[in-house]
This record gives sequence, C-alpha cells and structure tokens, in this order.
Amino acid sequence: MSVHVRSLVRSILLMFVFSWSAVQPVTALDGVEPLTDTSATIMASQDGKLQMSPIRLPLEVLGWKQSGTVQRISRETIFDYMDGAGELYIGYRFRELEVREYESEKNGPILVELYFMESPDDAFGLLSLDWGGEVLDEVIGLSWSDFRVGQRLPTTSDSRTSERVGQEPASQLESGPTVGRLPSALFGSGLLRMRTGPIYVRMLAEQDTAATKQAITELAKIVASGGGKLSAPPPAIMAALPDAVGDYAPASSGKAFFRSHLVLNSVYFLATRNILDLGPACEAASSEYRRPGGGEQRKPRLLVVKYPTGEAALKGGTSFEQVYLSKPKRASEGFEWFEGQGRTVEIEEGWVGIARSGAFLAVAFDCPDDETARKFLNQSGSLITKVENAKLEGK
Amino acid sequence: MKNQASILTRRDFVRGTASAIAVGGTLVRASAAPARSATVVVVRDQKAMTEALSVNAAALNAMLEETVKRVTGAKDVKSAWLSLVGPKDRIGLVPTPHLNPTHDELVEAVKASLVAAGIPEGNIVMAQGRSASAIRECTALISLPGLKAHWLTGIGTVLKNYIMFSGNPSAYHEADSVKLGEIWSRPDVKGKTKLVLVDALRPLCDKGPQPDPRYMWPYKGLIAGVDPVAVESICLKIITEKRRALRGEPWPLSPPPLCVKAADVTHKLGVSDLAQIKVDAVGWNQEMLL
Repeated sequence: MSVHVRSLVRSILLMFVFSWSAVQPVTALDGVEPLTDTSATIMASQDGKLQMSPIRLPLEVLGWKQSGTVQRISRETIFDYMDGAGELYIGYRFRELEVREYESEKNGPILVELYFMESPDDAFGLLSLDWGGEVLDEVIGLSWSDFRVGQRLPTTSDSRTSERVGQEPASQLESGPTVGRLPSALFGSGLLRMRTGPIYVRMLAEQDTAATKQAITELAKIVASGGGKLSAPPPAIMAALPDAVGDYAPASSGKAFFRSHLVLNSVYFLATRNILDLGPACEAASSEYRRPGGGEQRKPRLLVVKYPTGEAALKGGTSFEQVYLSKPKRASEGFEWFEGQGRTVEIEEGWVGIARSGAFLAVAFDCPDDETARKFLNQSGSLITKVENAKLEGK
Repeated sequence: MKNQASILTRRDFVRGTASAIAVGGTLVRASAAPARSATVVVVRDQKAMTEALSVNAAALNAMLEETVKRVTGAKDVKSAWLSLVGPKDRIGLVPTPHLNPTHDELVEAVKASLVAAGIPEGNIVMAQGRSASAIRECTALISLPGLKAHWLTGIGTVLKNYIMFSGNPSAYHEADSVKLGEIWSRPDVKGKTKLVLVDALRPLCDKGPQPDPRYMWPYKGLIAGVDPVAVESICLKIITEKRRALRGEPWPLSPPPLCVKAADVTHKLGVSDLAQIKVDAVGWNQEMLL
C-alpha cells in the first residue's frame, strides 16, 4: 500500500492523507467472498498521529452488486473519461477520481464517482455550483449547521477539536461572520451530489425510484464515514458575501465558490478570456442578489476574490479595469475602501463597483445606481475585515 | 493574458453586439446578407420512450423514416436515403460517444435503414473519434449528436460533434470554442455531411455534458436537416425555452453559445437567424418549445 501524505489545510493540526489501497477483486478468495473493496483512505492527523479511516465500499448493497473493476482516473486521463467536462474538475484542483458501477437487474445501474480533490474547499466549490435538490445531510449523518469563520469542529477521532480557518477559543467564536446554512448532500431525480472532507461525490441511478434512492443513501453513508462525516466549513471567502444588502438578498441559485475563470463564466459570463487573472491559487465567491418580489431590471452580482498576494490582486484588478471598465458612461470619484481604494463606473449594464485592499478584490456588477454599488462593496469589505480578524485572532 | 483584441466581454453583448461575433481577434458584425433560408425538421412521438425511459424501437424507426422523408422531400424512405447518399459511398456515422451519448437504438436504426435502402453494410462505418485518414476515406458523413447544453460552450451538440476530427481538440476549448465551425471546413470534412440528425429523445438543458437528470427531460424528438447551423440554432431554441420554462423567467446559457453565430457569420456554414429558418414540426405537440 502506498501512502501519499498531502496537507489539505493551512493548519498543521489537521491533515488528510490519501492512501490508495489495492482494490480487492470481485472474486472469491479461498472460499471467502470479500464483502467490501477499499477506496482511497483518509487519515486525520492530530499531533502528528495519523489515524486511518478507509472507505470500504460494499460489493453488494440492497440487491445491487458491484460490477467490473474500479476505474481510477487521474488528471492526465480525466479527458478520456469525460471529454469536455474535465476542465471543471481541474479548475477545482482535482487529484483523482474513482468510478464504480453497481448493477441490479430489476432496478438498473448506479454509477458511483468519488472525486478526490486537493482540499475540502474544492469539494465545496463543486457542490456550490447548484444548491438545488433534497437535503440528505441528516439522513446520511453529515453535519448541517451555520458555520462561523474560525469555528472549531469536532474530529471523528477524539473529543478534541480541530479548526478550519482559525483557532480562536470557543469564547471568541462570535467574532467571525457566519457563512449561513449550507447543505452537504443534495439529491434529485436519481442523482446524489455530496461533499465530505476533500471528497466530492456523484452517485447517479439510471432509474429514479425509492429503491435506488435507498441504495444511494446507504453508499453515501459509507463514503461519508470515510470522509470523517466532516462537512468542513465552507471556504472563509464565502463569509465575504453578505446575506443582505439593504433589501437585497442572495438569489435562490445561491453562493458559489470557484477558482477558475471558466467556472466564473458558467456562473456569470464575464469575458472569453481570463481578464481577472483567476487561477488555482485564488479563492473566489459570487452570488446574484435580488429584492423580494423580484421584477427589477437590475440584479446585482457580487464577486469577491482573494488572490495569493496583494501583487496578484493588483494585476488581476488592473487587467479587469483595462478590459472591462474602459470607456464608461460615467465614473465616480475614487474612494477609500478599508486599506485600499475603490471606484464606481456606469457602463451599459448599470453601475459597476470595484475595490481592492491587499490581496482582496471585490466587484459589484449590474447595480441600479452608484449608491447600491458602494453599499455592496462596503458591506463586503466589512465582512472581509471580520474574516481576516477572526483568522488572525486564531493564530 | 492574450491581447485584448481577442476578448469578447459581457459588455459587448449588452451593447447590442450580440449579432456580432469575435473571431480571429476582431468583432465581425453580421452584415446585410442576401436572404437565405433553411429548413429544420422536428419529429416527435409520445411513445418514443417508455415511462422507464427505455427507447421504443418501433416508434423510433417510424420517427426516423418520417424525418428523412421530410428532410429530403422524398415519398419513401429508400428514395430519401438515396437522395442523400449512394451505394458507392463510404458512409461515416458520427454519434456522440459518451456523456449523454446518442442512443444506440438510433444509431442502429439509421444503419438498418441505410442497409434497407440498398447501402452495403460494409460501406457504413462508425466515424466518431477516428483518425484523419479514416475520415478521408469517408465520402459521406451522417452526424448523430445528442442534444445537450455544455458548461464550456453553452451548447455542445451539432458543431461540437466533430471536434475530434480536428486532430487537436484542445485548440477548440475555452475561448477558442467559438471556432468550432471551422472544423467543418477542413478538407477531410468539408461538404461530406449529408444529414445532421440530432437525438432529442432525452435532452439535457443544463450542467452538460455530464448527465444531470434534474435537467433532462423526455422531449421524445428527432431534429434534422442538411444545414448544421440551422439545426444547431433550433436545438438552441429548444434548450433556451426549456430553461425558461424551468425557471419561470429567462435563464440564459452561460457562457453564451458563441460558436453558433460564428459558424454562420464567419465560417459561412449555414443559417443561424431563426427568422430565416423554417421549422417543419410533426407529431406530439406538447411542450414543443419552438
């Protein structure tokens, strides 16, 4: 068995380790039928002690039998497996994919895909592209709560706590902004999408029946256990998207997390090229906002990006301004935005506000007026400050 | 970053340049062109799929026959096929191989119908993903894509179905997908497509190409014509209308399907203007989305 130790979080206290175990063939061995195969293994590290938590998927579940062999898809082979869709996963720092198929003569096949990503953030991002569906978190046993930046999470290994983006004592938790209530497992029309730890899961039944849903749920419980049943908190940048700006609230499509301009374009088409200079080292969050009742012409969209460095943010922001904000109808005076600068301009699609402070860049699109654009920027800037403070307090 | 001249932004669309397209680094506006026309046939049958979404082969065969007759104007199926291809042609069938693949039943039905029309079975080959030399040997192509939205190109149906014929599919990814139409003008491909027959039995209107059953629905149709851009444009119309119906408001494809207009304006491959496309629809008329 080979073990690849990969740090998946910034803190040294929590690490996930992938261990690619040899998959048991689906044949009898010395008269003993193997009951499970072993998938990628995740180990949580506490104080340097690694703890195994292998995902043992059954060879049979509720009448479905695993057929064929487990396919392992790498970054190099993902385009052979899904030409035209591989870019999506690569854009979220994809590492490896395992594919299994379960067959039932009566109820048709179930495809099980386990995407092993670089970090829980990436698994979260894939789920965040569509929040639709029935929430199955409680049924599967995943946590489902309002996350607060800097919040400590109980580990599965012991009663101690580990953290995700900060380490402040519990008494200080109130200082971090919340990210809101976000599910981790969603089901609809025979498709389960789930995240657990750094794993993004797709289970697709050819037939959408009560029986297939039950089988998928059982498999999901096993995968979730392997992932520690830890729905790691959403990426901290998500907290920079306000839950309300005046009477605007996030649209039902919800808040998305991404790193790639290709994903941004699938959420909100901006340009055919990467004019914000996004990339794997960036963390970006975006949401459309609407007023109650709808019907408004302008539907503001807020985009917040954390670049790896202030220089990278300056480069991305400058590129964006040169390409997208040239020749505005009107432009306001620049203004101070926390430790940086902001400005608003009117273009064909309403007012756009842009502000940069350190490694952060915020852009408010499609605003009905200058004032609204500034409100979005200011509220987001305030949240960014809280996020950063919560993380600093934890260090 | 590449030079700014090759960038098309959201602002370009809002400025009213949606009828313009960015190709080769410049915005090319659709100029006043001579009146053109194209016909796209849409044939549907409520019995084409069962409740369990299995294909009803008999119903599909009848739909196929009706489709080729209407596309060609021939009175019988044999005459219809023989007006498109001949017994000496080496015919390449080009289905979508995976990720919402073309239904096998449709591929088999086309093959059987061609053989019944007098085309030697040995002259019919599966051409998807084949090498350039293999395509060179084909004297006729029948494109059989599945209807689906695509997260990188907006729509991933007719024009994208030949991407492997380019020999360099990555050259048509991301922003360069706008050039997909040029593949149809490659020497090995140009002029060979005798029929574009889209499998719209169960299309996908979002999150493609990976299947997501929440956005798939039993349209139970075939969409066909000899003009690939016109067929793609009608496919786009159906996808767009389905998305609007799902959301109860306009839900534009993102990114916008730039390749469709470019195939018309830049590559002169066919007609994209819906006002210039006649739709010949027959059969089940519930939720036609046209």
